[in-house]
Order: sequence, then C-alpha cells, then structure tokens
Amino acid sequence: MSIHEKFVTLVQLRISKILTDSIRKKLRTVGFVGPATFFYIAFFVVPTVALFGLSLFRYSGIGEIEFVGLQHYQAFFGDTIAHRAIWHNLQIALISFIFNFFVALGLAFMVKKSYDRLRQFFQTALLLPMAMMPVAVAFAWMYLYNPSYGFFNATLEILPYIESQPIWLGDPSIALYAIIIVGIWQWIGFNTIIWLAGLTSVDESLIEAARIDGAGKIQTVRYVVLPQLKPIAIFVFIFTFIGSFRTFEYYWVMTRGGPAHATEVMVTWIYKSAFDQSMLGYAAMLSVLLFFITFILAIVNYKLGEKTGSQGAKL
Amino acid sequence: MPNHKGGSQWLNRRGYLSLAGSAGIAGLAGCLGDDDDTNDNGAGMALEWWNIWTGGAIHDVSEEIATAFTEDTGIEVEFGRFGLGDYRPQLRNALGTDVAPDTFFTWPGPDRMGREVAADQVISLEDRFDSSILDNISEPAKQRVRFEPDDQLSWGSEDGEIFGIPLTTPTIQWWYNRDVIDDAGIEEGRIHHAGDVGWDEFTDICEQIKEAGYTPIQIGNTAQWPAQLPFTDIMAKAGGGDLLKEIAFGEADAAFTDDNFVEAVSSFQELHEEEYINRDINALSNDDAISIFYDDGAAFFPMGSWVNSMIEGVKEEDEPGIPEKIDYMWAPFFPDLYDEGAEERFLMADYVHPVSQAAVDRGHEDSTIELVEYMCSEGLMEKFLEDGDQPISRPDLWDNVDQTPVHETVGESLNQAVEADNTYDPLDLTLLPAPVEVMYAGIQELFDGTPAEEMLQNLQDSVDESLEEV
Repeated sequence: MSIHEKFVTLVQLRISKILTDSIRKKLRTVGFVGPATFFYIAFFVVPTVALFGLSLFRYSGIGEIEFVGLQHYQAFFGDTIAHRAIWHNLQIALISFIFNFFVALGLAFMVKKSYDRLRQFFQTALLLPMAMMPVAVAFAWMYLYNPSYGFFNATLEILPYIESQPIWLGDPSIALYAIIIVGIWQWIGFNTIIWLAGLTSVDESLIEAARIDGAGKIQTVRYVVLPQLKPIAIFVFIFTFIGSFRTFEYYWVMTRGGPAHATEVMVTWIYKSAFDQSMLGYAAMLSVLLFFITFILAIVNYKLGEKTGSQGAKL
Repeated sequence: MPNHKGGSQWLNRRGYLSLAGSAGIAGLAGCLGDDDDTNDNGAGMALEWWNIWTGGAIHDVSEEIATAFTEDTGIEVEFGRFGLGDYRPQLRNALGTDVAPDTFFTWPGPDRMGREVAADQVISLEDRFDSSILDNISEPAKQRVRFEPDDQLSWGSEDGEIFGIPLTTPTIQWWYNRDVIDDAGIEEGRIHHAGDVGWDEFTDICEQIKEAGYTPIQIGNTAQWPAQLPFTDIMAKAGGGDLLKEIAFGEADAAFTDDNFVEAVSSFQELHEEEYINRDINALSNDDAISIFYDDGAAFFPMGSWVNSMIEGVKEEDEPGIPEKIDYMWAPFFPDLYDEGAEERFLMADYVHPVSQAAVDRGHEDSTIELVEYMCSEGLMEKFLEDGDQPISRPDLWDNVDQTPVHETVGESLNQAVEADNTYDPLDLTLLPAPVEVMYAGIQELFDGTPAEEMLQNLQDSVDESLEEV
C-alpha cells in the first residue's frame, strides 16, 4: 500500500467513526439543497428584508440616511398618484382577466376542435408573441400607435366617416387601454395553451355520459367541462392578477406613465420615486406594499388550490 | 480500501470533488480582494470618467481627449458610459461607495450638483483648479456651478465656491424652418435672432403659418422634458428668471400662482387649443418631432443649441442644416406682464465635471483635477466645439476654431445670451425632484384641458412641500 493509499484509508476510517449514517444523509441533503438555498437567501430573502428595512428610512441614495419609522407608510395615504397607480393596476388585472378567461378559453375550444396539424400550427402561432421580449413588443406597438405614421391611424385615415384619428398614447382617456391591449396580445396565447392543456385533460367518459343522458353541447360545457377546469381558472386568475400588478415594460417604454400619470402603474411609480425623485425609502415602502399585494394573491391561490384538491394549486 | 455506506469511493470521488470545489471557491474569494490604491499621484492607476456619451461626435471627442491625456501623463482613463435613462440611477448608486468615478458628467441645479455638494460627494475646486483656465470660463457658466458647502439650495450664490467645471453653455431658442416661414409669407428679418417679438405678434405669425397649411410649433413630449423648455420660457417671460429661481427656493414673496404666471401659462395653453402646437404633443417623441420640423411639416421647434446634432441625425449629408435651412429666434415675451422679458435669455451650464470625494480618498485628487484641466485646456477644449459642435464655455477659444456656419450661429446665440441683461435656467434643473414630476405631468395635463390655475397651484404646493423636507 502506498503512502497515499494509507493516508486515504486512515482518513476514511476516521471519518467513518465521526459520521453516522443519519449525519451522512443529512450532509448529503444539505449538499444538494445548499447551493440553491444559498442563492435563494442571498438574492431573495436578504434583499426582501433589506427592502423592509429601507422603507423605514429616508435616503436619497447619497448623503445621510435618516430613520423615519412608519412615516412613508403614513405618506402613502396622501399619495394620490400611488392610489391612481393601484387603480390602474386593478383595471389592467380585470380587463386582462376577462380576455384571459373568456377569449382564451374560446380560442382553446376552437383549437381543440381543429385538425391535428392545424392545432400544432395554432399552438405555435399563439405562443410566438410570448417569445418576444416585452420591451421589443412595446416598441413595435408604439410604432403601430404612432399618430403620424402608425398603422392604425393610417388605416383609419382612409376609412370613410372618420374625421380625426385618436392619439392613442397621448390621450389620457384612452392611453391606458391602448397599452392594456398590448399585454393581452402578448399573453393571450399562453393562457390559451393553458386552457388547452386543461381541456385535453378533461375526462372524455364524463362528456360521453352527459351526451348519452341527453345533455346539449352548452349544458355539457357548463356542467361537465367547466367544473373540471376550475383549477385552470384559478391559475389563470392568479397568474393574470399577479402579472398585472408587476407589469412595467409596456408602460415605461410607451408612455413612461404619462400623459399626466394616465398610465402610471405601481412599478413605474416606484421607479420614479426611487430614481427620478431620489426617494429610495419611499420607493421601498411602495415595493413592500406591492410585495404584500402579490403575497396575498399567492396565499389566495394556495387556499383555493387546497380546496379544489387538484393540480390547480400545483401550477 | 474500507467500504463505507455510499460506496468505497466516497472520499475518492465525491470527497475529492467537494475538496476541489471548496478550494476553488476559496481561491476565487482570494482573487476578489481590492487592489491596494495608495499611489498619491495616480501614476499607473486608471482614472474613472463617467458620462452619457455613448455615441456620436461627442463620444469620439472624449475618447480623443482621454487618449491625449494618457499619452502626455501616462495615466490611463477608463470610461463608464451609460445611456441617459440609466445614468442618474447608476451615478447615485455609485457615489459614496468605492466604485464612485473620479470625475463624471453632471448637471447644475439643486437636485443634481447641489445634492452631491450637500452630501460631500464632490470637492470644491476653488483654489485647486488652474486659475488661468478658470478666469477664461464665462461668468454665466461659472455662476451656475457655485454652491456654498453643505447647502443644496445655494445654487449660484455669489458667496459660493466652484464645485465643478462646465464644459459647455448651450442656449435654448425657438428654432424655425426657413422654407416654411418663407412659404407662409412671414418676413424672416423680423424674427431672425430676435428677442423682442411680442406675444400677440407671435400668435399672429402662428395664425399665418397655420393658414398656409403648416403646424406652427412642433413639440414631441413623450419624454416630458421637451415641452418644459418652452414652458420655462413662458414662465420667465412672465416674471423674470431671477423670480422663478427665488420662488423655487422659497425666497420670494411671489408664487407660481400669481396672476402674471397664470395668464402666461393660459396663453401657452391656448397655443394648443388654437392648434398652433401639434395636437399629438403628448404622444410624439422628440425624434419624430425633429423629423417633422426638418421635413417642412412645422415652422418652429423650441430646443437647445444642441439641435444641430438632432438635425444631423435626420438629414442627408448634402442637405442644408443650420443656418441655411434652420435658424432661431428667442422666445416671445409678454410686454403687458413683464416688459424686461425681451432682454432675458435662456442659457444653461452643461457637461459639468466635478471631482469626486472618492477620487480624493483614492489618492487620485491631483490627477483627476489634471484630467478636468486637460479637458478645458487650449488646444483640446476646441475639439468639443470643432468636432463635437458644442458651445464651449471658454469664449477665448472660439476664435481658435475654423468655425463652420453652425458654429457661427450657435456662437452668436451664446454671445447674445451672455450680453443679455439676465439669463435663466431650465425649470427642471431649478426645481427639486418632486415639483419637477408635478411640472412634467402638469404640462401634459395643460394640453388635455386642465386649467392653468390648477396646474400652477399643484406646482406651488409641491414646491412648498419639498422645501420643507430639505
């Protein structure tokens, strides 16, 4: 036996005395889970805790940092722009949900009924917008909406009986809805595919049984298919709402929250508070509020998923 | 070899892998230590110069100057360049840390340089900077980089010290398209470089242009700052540039809600109602607006003297520019509200370069000051003018350059501004950040029908609140 082999044997004997099987198993578990846990703590937990802490201070990014306690939280109640931003996020969520539920479900039914090859084509086509970066999508739609040479206004100009073209992104009464359409356009395909996956998993024997019992198509859909899609519906609801509160790219690229805060959303207001107005503590407070909103939605998803007791929660 | 549960290879394979991984991480950690930076004169240590020049002629000029500096001194210069949108957050995050740049592009004003001065992030250059250079920088430019130490609101104080060097002093005018003016039957001689065009006379000109089928005034305000330029003009012409600053700093008995300002802003709003300003102002980008203006779609385009670089971006090389096709007048004034407005001009200090406290802490103070002096020195500062088309803040060097017609035009505007009774700065540099946000939104709301009184009341309320927090 070489010196090296003797050394290794001695080390192994020593280690085997120290390590019992259970300790070794625990170490193995830590070894596998550890790196991911480290990154989770370092890049999620620590910043989140720091965010909570920063929300209690007044800090501009340079200079002194001053403890102000809950002053920022108190100031939120007087911040009409933040209230307006939350209201805009709610509108985005509600309108997006209507499309992601009804329109996407309708598209899913249509795709399911189509021939196999067409179905594959539609599935690909529906997912293509989702593959584009939101910033690129925003720039593309900005050109479509351009009042001078955009496609929409150029089309409206040649139509009869239309005297003036709308200023899509410059009119405070319509700018928000113009941008909501962009988000719907990009994500409706994803929701359609989710519904399609749900439809595919519906138990055909139940549909057959309903047909045998004399149920019409609408009755079948309403009383047999839709109840089985409840987990999907919950997922679509939560995914849409969480996504709507976190949306940023479209509103920043296309209007920067303007004109006159007409398209201000929470994240754009957080960005402006932090980097335009140098109120990092206040921006942290807004971020904490946003965190709680999405956290509550996640809890709702979890509870609803527990109630349905199916793969809806696991999604 | 002993056979433990998990395989006799536990140490041979996994153990060695674990040890190797740990050793690797330890080695990486060791490599991440800071360099010891104690060289007092910075020789051999690179200086960090941050700016927003990510492309174009000004980018090339900065590279040239840095290269010349390195050749002469042996000191390397490293650039940190960020797009305009990213620059301020990046700079704010860096200042006060050990990654702060040695010198950097900044803007004057209480929330820009003022904040940096008050937080001791930059050092006073009084008695440190080459006086022969400093004496030749124009007085309006120097005035705009003076602060009293620790006082964010002491911008321009005569008792202040110089905390940065402004490389350029652009002016802001109402540029006009000669072809459109001619076609509309306007006598160009009346408006050419004129500062005494009254408001009623100007609206008559706009009506004439509109009847000729052109948009009188083109503004692209999606980024919110472009419309703030003519808005500043309107406010200054209503009460004077000094009064604007005093109200912004809470030093005046007056307020933005006074009748003169309300009337002036109402008149500005009427320009949009009468369709003298393009209807899509809040949906049009600045780039689109300059294209329309240059392509004979509009008569006037309020913008700074940097407009030449914008025009170069939309025209072909052999097409005419400034002054063959584009020239300027000063903003119209209100004879009934403030008749001295005809003698006030819109000017700002730009490309301000301070020396950071971080540079001092690293021992780079002397070399950084040397770099900034280099930028301002004879033989090199001219490059900003000659190659970068920037209105440099050293009037003594203008004659060293073989001036193009663009330089002559911009130079004349600068001379007119320097010789004027008074000058004023953009409101988005003068106000604190919260009122700036209110002003930007308020200007957009004006074009949506919000009454001027309401807009100005919101602005004044925001000014009052922000001053309480300083």
